[in-house]
Amino acid sequence: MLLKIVNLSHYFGGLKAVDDFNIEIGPRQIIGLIGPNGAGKTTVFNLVTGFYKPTMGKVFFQDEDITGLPPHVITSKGIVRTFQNIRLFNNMTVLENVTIARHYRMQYGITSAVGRFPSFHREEHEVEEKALEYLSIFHLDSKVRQPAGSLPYGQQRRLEIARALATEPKLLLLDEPAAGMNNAEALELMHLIKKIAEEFRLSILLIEHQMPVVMGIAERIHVLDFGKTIAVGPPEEIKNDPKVIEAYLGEGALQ
Amino acid sequence: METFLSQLIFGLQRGTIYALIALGYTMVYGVVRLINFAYGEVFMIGAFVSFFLVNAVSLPQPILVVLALLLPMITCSLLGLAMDALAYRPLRQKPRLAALITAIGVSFFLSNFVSYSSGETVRSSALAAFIIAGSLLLYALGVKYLNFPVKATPNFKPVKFVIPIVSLLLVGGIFWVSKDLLVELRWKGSSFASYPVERLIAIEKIPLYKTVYITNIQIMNFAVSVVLMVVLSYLVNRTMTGMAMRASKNNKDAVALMGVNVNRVISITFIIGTALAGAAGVLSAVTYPRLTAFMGVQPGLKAFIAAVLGGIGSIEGAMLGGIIMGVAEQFAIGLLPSSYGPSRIDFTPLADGVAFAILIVVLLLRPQGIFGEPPREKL
Amino acid sequence: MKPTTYTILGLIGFYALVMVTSALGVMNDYILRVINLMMINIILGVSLNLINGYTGLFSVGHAGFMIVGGYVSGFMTTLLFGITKDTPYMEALPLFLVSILAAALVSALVGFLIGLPVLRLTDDYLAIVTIGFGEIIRVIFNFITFKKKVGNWELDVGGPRGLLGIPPLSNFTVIFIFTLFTVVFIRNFVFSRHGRACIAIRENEVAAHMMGIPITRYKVLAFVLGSTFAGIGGALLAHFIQLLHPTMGGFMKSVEYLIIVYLGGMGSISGTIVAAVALTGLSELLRPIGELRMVLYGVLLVILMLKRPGGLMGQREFPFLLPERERKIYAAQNR
Repeated sequence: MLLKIVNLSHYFGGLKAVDDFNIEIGPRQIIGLIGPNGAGKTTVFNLVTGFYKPTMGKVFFQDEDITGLPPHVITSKGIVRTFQNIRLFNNMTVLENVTIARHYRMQYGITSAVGRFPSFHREEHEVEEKALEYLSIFHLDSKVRQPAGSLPYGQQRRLEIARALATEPKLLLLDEPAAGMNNAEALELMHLIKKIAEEFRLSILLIEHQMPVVMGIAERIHVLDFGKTIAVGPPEEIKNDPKVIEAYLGEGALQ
Repeated sequence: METFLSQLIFGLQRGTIYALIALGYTMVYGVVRLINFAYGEVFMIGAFVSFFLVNAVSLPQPILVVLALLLPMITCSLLGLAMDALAYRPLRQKPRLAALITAIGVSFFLSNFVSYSSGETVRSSALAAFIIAGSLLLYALGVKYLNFPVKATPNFKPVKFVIPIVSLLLVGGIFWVSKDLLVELRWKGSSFASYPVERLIAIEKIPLYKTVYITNIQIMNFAVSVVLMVVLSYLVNRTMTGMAMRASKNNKDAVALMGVNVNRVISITFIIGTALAGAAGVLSAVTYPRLTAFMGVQPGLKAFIAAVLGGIGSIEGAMLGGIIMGVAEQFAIGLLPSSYGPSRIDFTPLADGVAFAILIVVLLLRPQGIFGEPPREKL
Repeated sequence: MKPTTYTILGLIGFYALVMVTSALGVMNDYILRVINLMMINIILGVSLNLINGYTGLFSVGHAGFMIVGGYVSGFMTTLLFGITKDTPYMEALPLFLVSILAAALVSALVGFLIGLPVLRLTDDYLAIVTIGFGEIIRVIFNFITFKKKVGNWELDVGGPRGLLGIPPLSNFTVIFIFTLFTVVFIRNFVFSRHGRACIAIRENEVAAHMMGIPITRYKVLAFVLGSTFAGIGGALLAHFIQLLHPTMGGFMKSVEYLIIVYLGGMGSISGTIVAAVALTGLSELLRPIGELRMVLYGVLLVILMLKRPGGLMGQREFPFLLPERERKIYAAQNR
């Protein structure tokens, strides 16, 4: 079992943002996490990736308890996420955004850097090659030296995913990757995500509002509303679940 | 016991001065999340405007006292308006760092300007103070009645500078006429100007308990501070503007959507803060009559720390924090020996360290301060 | 010829020019003094740029580190080693270098002690704390006095008079070498994964954390490196102007260094160098008008932020500072 979350709850003051969240994600699985705005989905991401310490509950990754560890440690364990509002390093080049993702895997220290020892040159070269590989998958290799902030929105989203991939995670958390895209772009993204999940043997936990995307690639979906899990199941079940429809469209929508 | 009480009184006096400045910091920070580094300098200018006024005119005492407080407050409000319009408002949408640096620049400018212009004669510095006051007064009038653009627009409008220039000439002229009044006051930037408290009021000590006494000046200070704080509370809690200020603290965008002119609210917050700092300057000048161009640096820092102690953004916090800061510092001064051992080391300057010790303790133990909310970052 | 070769030749040429003209008596003493001050300001500017420019922190107490270094090395050479103006230079030099090392270590330690608790604060709080640090340092050094018997007479230094009679051990060569070392060190640091980590922290701390960068560790690292070089600069300065005063470590001086960094451009070593040279030169030129100079600095900061927050050079570097790969791309883009 890759990721196992047990009884995860989190309070912000008096507000229960996440209420007893449980999930199990195995290797090579794509799981969806949906729910109306404010349901607590991003909070779950923040809890898993170490940005918040959960008030209650535990997170296990590959049978190791990673609850409450700082984000950079969790990344080194193999979990990485993208952000709802894109968080690129805007003034750094596209290439640098990706090479930074390799940082924690690199070895050379400050002395090597300052002295420009062979290890510096060797590792920098390796890392750049690797980064270019990732960038070409996302068709960004022609923009390599441009500042990341100058890219059009769609490419920025792809860059963020490329960057996340470059950390070589085992589990990828995508927070609304299709936000701001039209249907065609979103479906294209969906195929891309499916492809990289296969090629890189990843599991993916996906928050997304655009139903076609989620329904298209997730094998199982968790639905949150006001922090509580109101439904879990395969897409066809979720699509027709009255509780889910009510959560999105309001009480009495089915009347 | 007696030393304790008298130190307490002095501490409260210090504390109220800090509290007034801290109020300015906390209100501005609450709305725009900006530390206005220049409040210390506004404090200093308030002291000096009062100094010039008291030296320049002779009026019956009660009127003079009131004017000595009001004129600096008005001047400082206008100064705040100008600072806001010229340096802060244009940067409202830009990253906070730019505003911080600008604030440092403004503070640097003000303190060094006063220091520079206080050369061989006081004429130039008085001129400077009155020019600032006069031109800003007219500028503000222009804003109010002539629909003057306050926002600094990218397109340069020459008409924007007509009023300040006219006012410069006007006020300069007024000053030139009265220059002889000030010619005997000479002081240099590096030394101090001595505030003639006697012209305002004769110091009287009122005995309280054994050797503990309180002076009429201290009573006056307390009274003024309390009145100001009460007025402020009323403004913030009972008026529409105050409500807008409180709402803007929480959510500026929502407030804007409700038809409130957020920029105006911010400017008003600013001006209130500078008025208070100016008042604090006057009170300080009356209590500690040594005025220098850089007298605002330390109080500015300490008042900010006091605001942090009380909980930045909280008005009660600023008042409480200021008083705690003042009392703590006073006790430190009282406790530290001023000539220790054979080489007679004077430890009292270390009392300045009390403020920073408080800062470190607060930041480590309870960064949100006494009345503040725990910090949260939105991811 | 490769650009690096040009750079090296240029530096050798510069050094030779100054040395030869001094030896021949052609070099104006005053100009030499200004050149030396420019180099010291380069050291201080570049070290602050690492903290404020590259890592995106907001330290307003850099002069404090500078003066700590100055005092440490100053006390060492005057009191500990008893070096005076008459001590032969070759004898004094190794001791001087030891004192510089000590200055660097102490500044580093102070940077670490200050940095660790304070670096998780946001900009504004960090500014206040660092200003406070500068002021505390000033107060402390106002205090510390030493009495010691050296030979026949008693040395009574420190305190409000400052530290006087520091032997003039910083000459052009020493300053030149240390400046070169500083620039090369920081430039190599910046163009490496460690520098990238710092820049990532500046650009987007949350994302940097998520990308596996231990942000607190790097913030402290930048802070400590910056303070170390500031200490070295302070030691050099102390032995150049031969005196130190507690006020030199205060807010005013720190603001001057801030100006150098933000005027030059936050992410640019070249910018800092240009700004340091320009500001030192301006300082000297404006000396006749005394304090008006400081007033202008204040105005300069405001106008800078309003009109050109990126500074003179923004994030760009002179080609000779860029690593080879970037240089080729820069050349290709500008053809």
